[in-house]
Amino acid sequence: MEDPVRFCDGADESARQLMRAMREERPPAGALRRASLALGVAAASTAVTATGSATAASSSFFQSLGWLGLKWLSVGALVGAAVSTGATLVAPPRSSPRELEPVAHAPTAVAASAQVMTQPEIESPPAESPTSAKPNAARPPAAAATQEVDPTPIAPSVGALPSPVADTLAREVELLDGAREALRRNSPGEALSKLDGYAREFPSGRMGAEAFVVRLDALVRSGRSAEARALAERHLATNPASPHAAKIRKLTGLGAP
Amino acid sequence: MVSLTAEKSEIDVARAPPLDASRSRLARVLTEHYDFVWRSLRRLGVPESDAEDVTQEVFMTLSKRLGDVVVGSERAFLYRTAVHHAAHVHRTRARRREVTEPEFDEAPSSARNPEDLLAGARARALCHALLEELNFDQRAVFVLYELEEMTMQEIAEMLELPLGTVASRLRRGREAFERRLKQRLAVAGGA
Repeated sequence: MEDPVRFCDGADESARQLMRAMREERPPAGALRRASLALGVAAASTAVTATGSATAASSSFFQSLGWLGLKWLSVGALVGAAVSTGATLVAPPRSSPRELEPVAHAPTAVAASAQVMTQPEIESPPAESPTSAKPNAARPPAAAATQEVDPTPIAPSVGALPSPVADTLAREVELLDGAREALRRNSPGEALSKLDGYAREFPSGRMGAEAFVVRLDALVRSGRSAEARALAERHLATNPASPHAAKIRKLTGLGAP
Repeated sequence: MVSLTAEKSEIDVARAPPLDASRSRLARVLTEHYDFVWRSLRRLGVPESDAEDVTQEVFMTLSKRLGDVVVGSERAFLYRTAVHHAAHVHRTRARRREVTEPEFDEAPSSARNPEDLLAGARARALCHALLEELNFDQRAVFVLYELEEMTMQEIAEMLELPLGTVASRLRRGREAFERRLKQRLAVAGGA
C-alpha cells in the first residue's frame, strides 16, 4: 500500500501554506522547564539537554533560577519520586505551614528574580510567623472568593534546604491537583470547595496565583461569571504584568488591556 | 477506532526499575518528546490555554506507567495518551458548549481574501478549524501523516491499528480537509 503525496509536497499551494504554518507552532517559552519541575526531573532534564557540558548548563540553570529554583527542584523531586514509586505524599503538619518554613528575606536582586518564577503576584494577608510578621497581620483571613497571597519575596535560608518546605509545597500541589481534577470531572462546586480548603490551609501559599486561576475557571463554570470577572479585574488592576494575565482574561471574557 | 487505552498497552514488566534510572529516563523522554506531545495536543483540538497543563498530565501518566512502557516505545505511548486526553477535553467542551475559547473561529472568519486567510497565524487558526471538523479518529491519523510526516506503516504501529484502517481514515480525512479548505477559500474569495 503506497503512501499518498502529502499536502506539504503536493500541488495545492493553499494546503502547502497551511501545513507550513502549522509547523511553526511551538510550545510557549519555558514550558519544558516548567514540566521538568512539575515532574521532578528538572536536574536530570538539564543534564539531558546539556549533553557534553552538563556542568556549565547546570550552573547556568541554577543561576537563572536563583535559590528558589532549588526549592522547586526539591518539591518537584519529591512529587516525582512519590509518583514514580507509587509512594504516598506525606502531608506535613497543617496547623501552621509558615512555622515549618524558615523563610529568609533574600537580597532584592535574588528575591526579584525568584518572584518572577514562583511568587504569586496577588496581595494577601500573611500568616503570622516568627520571620514574616507584619503590622497588618491582623487582616481578616483569606476569604473564599478572594484568593490572596503573601507578596513577601521568598527565598530559602542559606544552608540546607529544609525538607518541611518541600513537604508543604508538595501538599499545596496535591491540593491544587485535587481542585483541577474536580474541574476536569466538571464539578466546579467541588473544585471551589477544595480551593477553599487550600486557602484555609495555605493562606499565604506559594501556589496562590495558580489557585486563583483555577478558582476563576471554577467560578465561570459554576455560572458565577460576574464574580469571576470582578475578581479578575481587581487582580489585573494591581498585577497588570501577571504571567497569568492572558489566561485570566480569556477565562473571564475580559478584553485586552 | 483509535485505541484510547494507552494505559493497557505495552505492559511487559512487573518490577519497577530503580528510582534514579526512572527519573533519568523520564527526563530524557520529556526532553525529546515534549514539543511533540504539546503540538499533537493542539492539533487534536486542545485549546492553547490548556495545552501546557494537558501536556504535563500526559507526561504524568507516563511517569506513573514508566515501568510498564517498553523502552523505545515511549513516543507511541505518549501519542495514544495524548489522544485519550484530547478526546476527554473534546467531550468536556462539548458538554459545556464552551464559549470561552473562540480561538479557532476568530481568525478565519475575519479574513478578507484567500491570501489573507493563508498568512501566518491566521493560517494556523484556519488549519485548526479545519482539523476541528474532522472525525476524531481521522484527525488522529491525519495529524501524524500530514504534520509529523510519519508513514502509514509507522502510524499503524503507533496506534496499533491495521494498515488498511489507517489508509482508510487518512483518505477520508484528507478528502474532508481538502473539501473544507476549498469551501473556506471560496467564501473568503467571494467576500
